[in-house]
Amino acid sequence: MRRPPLLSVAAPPHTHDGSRVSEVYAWQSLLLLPAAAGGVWVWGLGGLRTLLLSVGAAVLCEWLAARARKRDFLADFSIVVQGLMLGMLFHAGTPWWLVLVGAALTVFLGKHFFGGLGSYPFPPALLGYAVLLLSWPGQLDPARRLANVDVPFAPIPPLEAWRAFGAQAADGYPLGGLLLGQQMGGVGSSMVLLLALGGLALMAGRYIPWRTPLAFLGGMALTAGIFHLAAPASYPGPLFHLLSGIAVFAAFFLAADFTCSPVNPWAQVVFGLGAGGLAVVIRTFGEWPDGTVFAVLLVGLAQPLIDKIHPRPLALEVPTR
Amino acid sequence: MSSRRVFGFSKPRVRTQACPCEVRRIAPPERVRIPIALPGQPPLAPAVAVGDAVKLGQAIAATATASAVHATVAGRVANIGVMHGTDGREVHGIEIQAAGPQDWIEAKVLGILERTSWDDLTSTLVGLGAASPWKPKAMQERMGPGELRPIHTIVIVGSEREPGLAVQCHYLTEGRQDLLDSLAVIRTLAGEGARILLLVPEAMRAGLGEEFGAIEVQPVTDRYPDNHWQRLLARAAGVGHTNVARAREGGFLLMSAEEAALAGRSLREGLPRTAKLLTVAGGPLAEPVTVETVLGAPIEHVLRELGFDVQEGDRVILGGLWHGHAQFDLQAPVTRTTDGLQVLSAGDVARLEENPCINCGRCTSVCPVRIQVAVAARYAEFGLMDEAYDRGAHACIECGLCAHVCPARRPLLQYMRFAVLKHEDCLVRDSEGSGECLDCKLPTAHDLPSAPRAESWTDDRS
Repeated sequence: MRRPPLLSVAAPPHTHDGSRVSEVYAWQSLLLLPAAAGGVWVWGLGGLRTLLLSVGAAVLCEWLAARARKRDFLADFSIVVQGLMLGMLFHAGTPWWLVLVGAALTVFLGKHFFGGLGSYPFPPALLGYAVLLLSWPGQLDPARRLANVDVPFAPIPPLEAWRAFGAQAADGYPLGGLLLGQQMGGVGSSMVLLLALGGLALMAGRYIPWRTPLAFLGGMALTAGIFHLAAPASYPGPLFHLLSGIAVFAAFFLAADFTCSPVNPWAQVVFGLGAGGLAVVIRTFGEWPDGTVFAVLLVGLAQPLIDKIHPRPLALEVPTR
Repeated sequence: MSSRRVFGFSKPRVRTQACPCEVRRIAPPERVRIPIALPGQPPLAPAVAVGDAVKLGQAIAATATASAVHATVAGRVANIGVMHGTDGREVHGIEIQAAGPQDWIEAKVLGILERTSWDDLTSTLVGLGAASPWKPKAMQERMGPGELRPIHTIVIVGSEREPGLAVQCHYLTEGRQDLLDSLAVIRTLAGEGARILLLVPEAMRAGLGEEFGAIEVQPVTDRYPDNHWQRLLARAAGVGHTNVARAREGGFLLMSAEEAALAGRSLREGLPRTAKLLTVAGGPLAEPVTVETVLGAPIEHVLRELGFDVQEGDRVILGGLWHGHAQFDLQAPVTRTTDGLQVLSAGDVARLEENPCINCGRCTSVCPVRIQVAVAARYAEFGLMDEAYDRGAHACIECGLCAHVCPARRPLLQYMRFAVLKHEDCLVRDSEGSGECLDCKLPTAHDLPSAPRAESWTDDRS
């Protein structure tokens, strides 16, 4: 008699919808590409060099880390997303060694130091960029490094112009131009329209949470609106805040990183409102013109607390007639 | 059947298919294994010995109150001992080898229902092995007041246990006479004041005739997990969430249409129930078929009769794809709560692994009882059962949706179960009442709900 077949045994459910982690990050990197392409269109070969260098270095570092930690290399696409985001934060004239240092920080410190995907408390690319921003602020200042590049728009980032010359400087930046990325800044992280379109598409597919980005933008608009109403001469309106710098990029891609943002509806709203509001506060009073970077980091630190806001699980009840 | 994915987002869309109009009857098996207890409960006392000849329908085990388990083939008792239950745990059981002519025991038909005394009716039903639905009222008299509240609402579920099965619907279509018979008996037993609620899938509501006029028929959704039995029970009982044991405490009784209908048939024929309907899918079958076999039939027999050739690495599931149990042994028997038998070939098996969670929150957002699945699962994974409980693991109805949508393919339902079982286990081991588990040192003084395992009262005899 034939030996009975060995059967596969596992806990239910025995059905799966086919989704994968790699699919989430593949879509994220795919929908970042239009904005990255926009950045290359504005900044030319310098922009392309920065992006390729950043992604390449991040993937290389990931390979080293995966070997050291005995993990599957590139099993998910998450490091491509992080490398791309880091490259998009850099301006086109960033020195090559700075990009390499940034990529190493992103992968080793931002991601693997905390335990890898699913464990890091901050978006790795953002952490890497923040460390560089504190260490080499001059090198990362597009107005200084790209002073000799000929651009068809004001050669000062809008937020710096506002901080230097007051709210009327904002008039020098037509909103339409800002929407199309006509501003000094990173390669692609200021391509507001393309970023927003990509972000909305990701939201529709549930590849990013939808409440967090909207709450982030809402918190920003609200805080900026309050400042603007209080003193219109000193503080520009909400639209200027939303369209300049990395506001939209941060809303859809940094604050909405699954791993370091909350899961529950109200927690997401609180997280988004907090990060958005803080971003405007740091932009207004902080030393760095684009405080969005630090706002997301700070609120990310509070995420375990914010995640304590959650709906109560249904309790088992004894019904009465 | 399972779900539709639109760009990353998946939402199971479950529609009740038209009930396959024909039930295929298959030959009786050469051997049956009949469990005579539930795990963790004392077994019924065997009323036969190894080597005894038994007739079809003969009582082979019974309790003091005469509720009984019956032979489902005629032959010889081959074995009395420990076997594996559907969930893999050991239970006591009796094995019968079919032999000789398949003769039934003598039928004991009751007279006209209206002229039968309540006691006669109850004891007849108990003797026929259909004790469960009537037992509560009997127990109410025998156990003294205060132990269990009297039943005031009987919820009969005519929708399926999970998507992809087509068992209960047969008792609303060609098996409806049995169900109607049974409803009359239930009415007699429960008294005029009791409410009898028949839940039927919306799509089948229109097809029900006038005969059901006297019964409260409530259409229920065909969306899973809204039509999960525990959700239906909560809705019928008018609470947010409940389980069978708690609903029973409150006077609500849940039974399947099949169990009710077959009790009605038993009473009419005067013979105990042996039949069980089962929806079989996968393998060589292009469409699922519903077959009638007998309780205790090995699944190997059912599969062989339908032309299956089970290969190494295949997954054979008793129940449905959402919360059925994968079997390791093809000798596993068909039981009272087994409504399905699915075979997935090795290539189609969804492999869940201990991957890291990316915190996307899909599991939490699909949970019908608002468990913080993502967090609770991580707590359970690292042995923090208190916290897993706090985030709702105990409320789990095991619908399986969380693991179905998890992009990291984590075995989320398993983590929820693990938290629940581990906790029960701690309570058992804390028999001295020290307040903490002897093994893991977790406190055991929780207000534990009774385990949400029992899907329906039928489980007490599965």
